[in-house]
Amino acid sequence: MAFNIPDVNLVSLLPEILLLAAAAGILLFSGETGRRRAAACAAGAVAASLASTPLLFMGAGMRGFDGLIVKDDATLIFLALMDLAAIAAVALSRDGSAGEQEGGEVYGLALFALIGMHVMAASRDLLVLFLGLETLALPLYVLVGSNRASRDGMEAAVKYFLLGSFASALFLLGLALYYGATGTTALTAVSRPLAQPSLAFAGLALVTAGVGFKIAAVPFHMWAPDAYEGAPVPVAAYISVAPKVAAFAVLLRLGLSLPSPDPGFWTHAVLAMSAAGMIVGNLAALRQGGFVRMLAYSGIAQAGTMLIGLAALPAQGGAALTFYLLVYLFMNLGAFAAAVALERREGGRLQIDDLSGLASRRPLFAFALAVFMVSLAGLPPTGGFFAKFTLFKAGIEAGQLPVVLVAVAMTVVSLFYYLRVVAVLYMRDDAGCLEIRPGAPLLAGFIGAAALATLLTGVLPGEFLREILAAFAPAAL
Amino acid sequence: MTINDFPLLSVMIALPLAGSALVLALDGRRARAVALGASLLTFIATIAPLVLFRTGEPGFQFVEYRPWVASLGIAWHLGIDGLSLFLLPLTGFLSLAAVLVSWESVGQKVKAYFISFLVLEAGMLGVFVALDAILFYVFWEAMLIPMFLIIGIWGSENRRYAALKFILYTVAGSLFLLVGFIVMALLVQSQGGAPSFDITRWMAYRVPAQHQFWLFAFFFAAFAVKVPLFPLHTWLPDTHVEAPTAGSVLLAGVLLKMGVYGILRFCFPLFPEATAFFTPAVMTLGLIGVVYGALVAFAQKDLKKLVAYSSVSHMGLIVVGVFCLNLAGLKGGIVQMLNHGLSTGALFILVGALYERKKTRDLDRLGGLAGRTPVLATFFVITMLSSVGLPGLNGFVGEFLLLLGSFRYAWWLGALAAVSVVLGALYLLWMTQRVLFEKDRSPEKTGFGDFSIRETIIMTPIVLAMFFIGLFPAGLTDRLEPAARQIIAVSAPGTAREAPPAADVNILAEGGTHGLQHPRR
Repeated sequence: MAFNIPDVNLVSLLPEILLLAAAAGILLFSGETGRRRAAACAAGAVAASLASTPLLFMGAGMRGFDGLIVKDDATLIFLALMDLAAIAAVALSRDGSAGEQEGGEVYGLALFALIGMHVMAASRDLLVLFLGLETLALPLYVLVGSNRASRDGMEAAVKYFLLGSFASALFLLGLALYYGATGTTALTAVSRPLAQPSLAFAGLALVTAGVGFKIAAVPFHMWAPDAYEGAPVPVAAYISVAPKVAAFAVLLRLGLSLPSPDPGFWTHAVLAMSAAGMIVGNLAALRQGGFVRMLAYSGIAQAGTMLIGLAALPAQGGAALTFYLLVYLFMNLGAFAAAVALERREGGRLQIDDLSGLASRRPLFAFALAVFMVSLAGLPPTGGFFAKFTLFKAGIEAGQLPVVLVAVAMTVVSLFYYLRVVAVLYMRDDAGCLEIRPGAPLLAGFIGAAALATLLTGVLPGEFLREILAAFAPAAL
Repeated sequence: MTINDFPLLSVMIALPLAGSALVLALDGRRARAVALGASLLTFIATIAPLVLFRTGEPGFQFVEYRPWVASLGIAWHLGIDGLSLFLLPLTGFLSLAAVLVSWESVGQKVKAYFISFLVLEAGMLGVFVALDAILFYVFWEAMLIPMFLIIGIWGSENRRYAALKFILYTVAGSLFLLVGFIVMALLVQSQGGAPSFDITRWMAYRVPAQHQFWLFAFFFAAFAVKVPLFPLHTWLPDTHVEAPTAGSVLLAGVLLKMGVYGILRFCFPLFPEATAFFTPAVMTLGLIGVVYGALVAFAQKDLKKLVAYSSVSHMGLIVVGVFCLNLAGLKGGIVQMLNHGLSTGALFILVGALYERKKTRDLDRLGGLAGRTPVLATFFVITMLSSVGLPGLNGFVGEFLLLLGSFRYAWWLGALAAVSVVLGALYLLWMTQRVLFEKDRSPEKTGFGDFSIRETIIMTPIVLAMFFIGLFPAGLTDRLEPAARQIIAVSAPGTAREAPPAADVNILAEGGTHGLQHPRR
């Protein structure tokens, strides 16, 4: 019996190891060091991970553990996006708000979740993917409920946990079916001729559903509004972007592993989820008075829009989707950062009408928020426009014009609620009881940087797109 | 560096943007002066092409080309031809006038106002000079946010509703345009080579007939909203009534022109078969717009709403004229775009001035102003006559060419258009009578003065331009003729794509009309 030496390549996991060390350190020592130092430690670890990623793997890529971990250029971009989102979330939460003066262990949890995302984005094996998914999910359930003073937070965490467990179960069932059909858990198996293709595809359908939960794709979106609203705002910001990046990385890989042309169900399912997400998210967002709740529904709608990229595989869809995620990172985190800065001390929720007249008192802040809203609506000269444009182009190129037309119609609907924020900011002078949290230079700096990045991706999208397109070129995959 | 290498058009777009940055950086009290300086410089920059333009030469001039988003085939590609040549100084001039108009009337948030204003100006100029479809689209949409703010912040009571209505209508139309642009680029790409949004490359490409019809519809949707063509006009009266005077001036004077400009730039050359197919339908809508706009204008008590509906009527006639696709109709359409910008812009300025004096725009509460404010009244009458189309003033040249084009197309069309012009004369004259003459019905009969020096300075050049175009139309028509010819050449269904014929017959060259006896179609 031949004994294979396992392909242990720890270097390929160096960023994750760094994160793990920091997370463990924070959990052990946070009781003594306090919140701020834990935040600094977490940010440092994520920054180290972010820095080590291009140094180690850029260009050549790296494989480890018999292909369980693959870090190619496309993966690296996703890892970098997640790391950026994590740093942003740390920056948003460092100064804390009235309700949650917890210790630093939340940062440990955030890092564990980040490790899970890293594993998800880098793996091509469904079993490892599942591990990543769970490592991501469990800390997030806790984070959503980390504001122990708030009943809503508890309720949101329980809801998130129940629905999330259900999604994990779906994923696991799909994994079992897939294993039954192919005899392996490697995702590549599906592209080979199969004895029981329908069983494998049924398995992949369940896997897609389980991952679709993380991006809040309709009909797996029910948790999102409550979880976003109940969670502390920085946590909501985190779960609105980072898990989305990881889940889309998985879905992209899944879509690219499918035999081309897709034998049937997958593209149709993605199209249906996309159209449903845009319609449900946008129409529901219209009726929201709460700022964060509006952002939650907007997130559902944006996820629906991004799904167009998956329906446009293997052509330009991947690159378009990745660029969209990049822009989404800036504009959505920026909008959430604004919500953090405006959070009310009494614990009441921020309403859109509370923003009234802010432009007169805090012009720069109002301008930044307006930039995020205009970008989310997809109007030039912001990054949101080029993100939508590349996605539409990829969709049309792949022959998916109908779903693009749905996106067009829904973009018009979305203008109502995004521009309503701009209108309230600039066109009303009444009220004005809201104060921006003083003494948060980190927060203000982050909002400024995000606004700048949102504008920059709108003015010079070529620089960003070039790298992404290169990573998704057929030769690189 | 020769004069041909100087990036004139980029500078033209950059000037207002630099001005807005300066306003942002400086103290609020200097905002007005900086805005005035920036828009004055921009105006000079928009005059320059008029002087340097090589008359009679087809194709684009002052071309600039720099890759922008190379991977998507998007470039910073600028250039102008006879079609855009006159729209630039119109934009520059009306923007300058608009800054002067808002000198005193804008009291709050002065800084933000002039920043929005200058960004808006850059966007408008960009639309007219862009030769890359996506660049065009970016300018087209980037303009919306400043206009949204101008209407929504500095408008009257119902301003937020009007601002939202304006932007929703426009974006709803223009998103279809974006889809159309992408499909066009992919079609061109399917001929081999990289994706390209270059309009000049598109014009050399023949769109397959099965794609022309729906693409035309997508493109036309965006432009028809902007024109605005009946029944997509309903945003216009609301927006005009709520917008501040300067906003109305630019909206009517420049933004509406973009619709017709887009039709001439994209729809005609790219989709000739579809254009021929849709012509009867569009003409019908245009004619309905002409008559409907005039009749509704008749029923208005609000002076601003009256002028807004008159725009619907006038723009309808322009659409009818250009869709005749003959030389007279096209030239008439282009000239009338300019005229309408001047006369309607001036009318809005005058209505704004009236409102500042009487605090009302209600026709039932005005009257007898001719005796009190002779200067204002004089300007009012000239502007009104220009809008009616009195010979010797600019409106006549455009309207005459438009009617001629319509008669060339079909006698009944000309007859219908002529009747509608009479309708237009009717309500404008009636309105002037009610405002300037009769007896004063307003509660406050005193306490206001005639035109100030500032207002006279704004109006004088406009009126001079009206006379100039009316008396020496050849200066205009000569320059835009090659562009009109080229549009006709490429828009004829079934023709092979080749270089358009050079201008041979110089219509209106001697200021007379005998040259019009050579129909091109």
